[in-house]
Amino acid sequence: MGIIELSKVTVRRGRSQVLDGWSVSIDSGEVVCLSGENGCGKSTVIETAAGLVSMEKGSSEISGQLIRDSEGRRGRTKFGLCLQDDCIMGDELVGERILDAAGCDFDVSSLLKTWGLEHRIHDRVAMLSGGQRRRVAILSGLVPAMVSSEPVAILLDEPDSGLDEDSVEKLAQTIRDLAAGGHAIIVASHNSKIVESADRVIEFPFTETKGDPVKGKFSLLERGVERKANIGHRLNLRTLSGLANNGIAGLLTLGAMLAMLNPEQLEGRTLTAFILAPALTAGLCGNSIHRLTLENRAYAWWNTISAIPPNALFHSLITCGAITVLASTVTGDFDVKLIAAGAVLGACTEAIVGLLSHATLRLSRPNAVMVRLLTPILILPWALVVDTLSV
Amino acid sequence: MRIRGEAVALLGLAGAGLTFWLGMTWAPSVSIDAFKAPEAQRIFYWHVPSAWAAMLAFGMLFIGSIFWFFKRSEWAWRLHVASSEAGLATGLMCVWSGCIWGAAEWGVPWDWTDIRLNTFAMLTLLSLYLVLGRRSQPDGVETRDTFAAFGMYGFVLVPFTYIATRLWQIRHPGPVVATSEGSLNSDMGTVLLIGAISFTVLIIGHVMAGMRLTKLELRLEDLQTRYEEESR
Amino acid sequence: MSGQTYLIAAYLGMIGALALWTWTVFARSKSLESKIDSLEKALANDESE
Repeated sequence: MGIIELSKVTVRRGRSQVLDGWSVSIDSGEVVCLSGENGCGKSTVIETAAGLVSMEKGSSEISGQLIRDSEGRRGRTKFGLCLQDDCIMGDELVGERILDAAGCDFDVSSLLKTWGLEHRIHDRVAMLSGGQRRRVAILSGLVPAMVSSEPVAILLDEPDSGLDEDSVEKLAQTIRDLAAGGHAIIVASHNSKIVESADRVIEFPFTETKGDPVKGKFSLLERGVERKANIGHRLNLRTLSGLANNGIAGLLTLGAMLAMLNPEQLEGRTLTAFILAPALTAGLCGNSIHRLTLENRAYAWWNTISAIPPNALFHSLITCGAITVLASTVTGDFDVKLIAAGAVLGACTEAIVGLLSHATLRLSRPNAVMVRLLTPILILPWALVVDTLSV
Repeated sequence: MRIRGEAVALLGLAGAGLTFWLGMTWAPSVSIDAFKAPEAQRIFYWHVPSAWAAMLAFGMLFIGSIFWFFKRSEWAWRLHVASSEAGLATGLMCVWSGCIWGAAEWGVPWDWTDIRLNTFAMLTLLSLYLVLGRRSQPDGVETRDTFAAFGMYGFVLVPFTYIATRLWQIRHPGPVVATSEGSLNSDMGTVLLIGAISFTVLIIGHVMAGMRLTKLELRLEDLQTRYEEESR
Repeated sequence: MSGQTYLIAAYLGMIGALALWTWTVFARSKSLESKIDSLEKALANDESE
């Protein structure tokens, strides 16, 4: 069994069938290049192997682990991925992204130096040129193999697009070096240098030719401690998107209520509702990190890392708790139970709205659907909590 | 002879019209002691049948969603599309009439703590989401899978809505038909039954017509693709 | 507002919704059928040429 194993996959995209019972097996140390005209299905192969696309039939396995099959079963394992979209959020830092992709600490500045990016290690990806961003995306895809002595799968979709000649040459050499280290690589490309680096070239969908690439030399990068991604929390602290997206909504709600109502005259259920309303509004604004992951299809790459979408829910607990504390303060009714309820209610509401938005990511225009139409149901649990706590 | 959905729907409409006429002119009035707004009680004769029709629509939506998602049945997708539109129309009718009757009878049009009201409104909003969402996306397996998934998960609310007034009586009254606690006058029951049958026929007719429309839309798209290919 | 006003408002809304829904179905059906007819004629003409 190969490191990358696609078995009789049938995939539909839009209204057409792109893959029909297609199989490929890529062994340790092998480089397979997919070439063919645009729209023939090369990207679909890469995304299917990565488990990003549902399949009508067949299965995808990487390093012996089932990634996805037609029954809907899913699994995860470490592999490298670089899609046609860069899949990097603009607020990620260059060095940070490479470390997240590696899943461990290592000497990232030396690696970036060989790719002409060491001076950008602490910069946000949004500040880079297109070519630089592409290099970061490629390195994200290659680094899991660079830090591993065990065979790792690397999936690359048109990695050469947007690169200059020198970078393409470097990429082709790196692919050969990784193959020499026992890693399995599948790459979709038209570029002659990349095609020449392949042991097998599949002219999509069926014609296969053997390549005669130059042997490379693998040098393992030394691994440091394991690293947890926690990208949602880091991004939230960096961009304050939780505060801007959710916190402001809660504050505005509190402000509007204060403009209309005299808190001193409120009591019972109305008072409880007044205190908990800002947290509900903050939660209804949804997962602020989700919006960031829509940039360059970053959600797709992060979906291969973790089943849970990037989020900053712990921060939401704090934000919603703080807003509830503020609402309690202006009313003079300081109740720890209410504050805890506000924090949990706001965070849960945010999580649910975030999940609803996440569920629409397969659509070709996810921003065009009005997911907010489904959020009024969240008023029901809020109202029940208000009722319960005001008894 | 193929029965057209439009003909069935028109039959249902006629029945609904008969229900309306009977409800306004023949059904007995209710006592002032039992109801705060006795004249508004006649909303009942379309409010309940529209709720029933909406539940049927949500059930068909579930079936269509399941069979598309797991069996890739084109017929099921057309059922999903038609029943989401039917659920939206009948759901809106029920929510609209319910709010007005609530304003008349309870003094408030809505209660955010009542399970039935909120779960039913949620189902209606889900239908609206599905109808609008589908129009914003090109047809394809991703669109169909996404909305079928919403249709399946949303169905969880249906049993909640149904049993809500049996378990928690917060605002919406409990069942009055086919229960030992029910106290529906027989003439009222007759009109309600005619209404329920009429709305059932109406919703079936509309769903049949809707399914035919989706089939026509897909046929049109295929013809357009063929025309573009032959023009090249 | 009297009970009768509520009654009228409720039924007007429901009748309006039913009417709109039914009209939409009939109008869409007519529009689709005519588009399909003209495309089929155009394709038949192309084939005969």
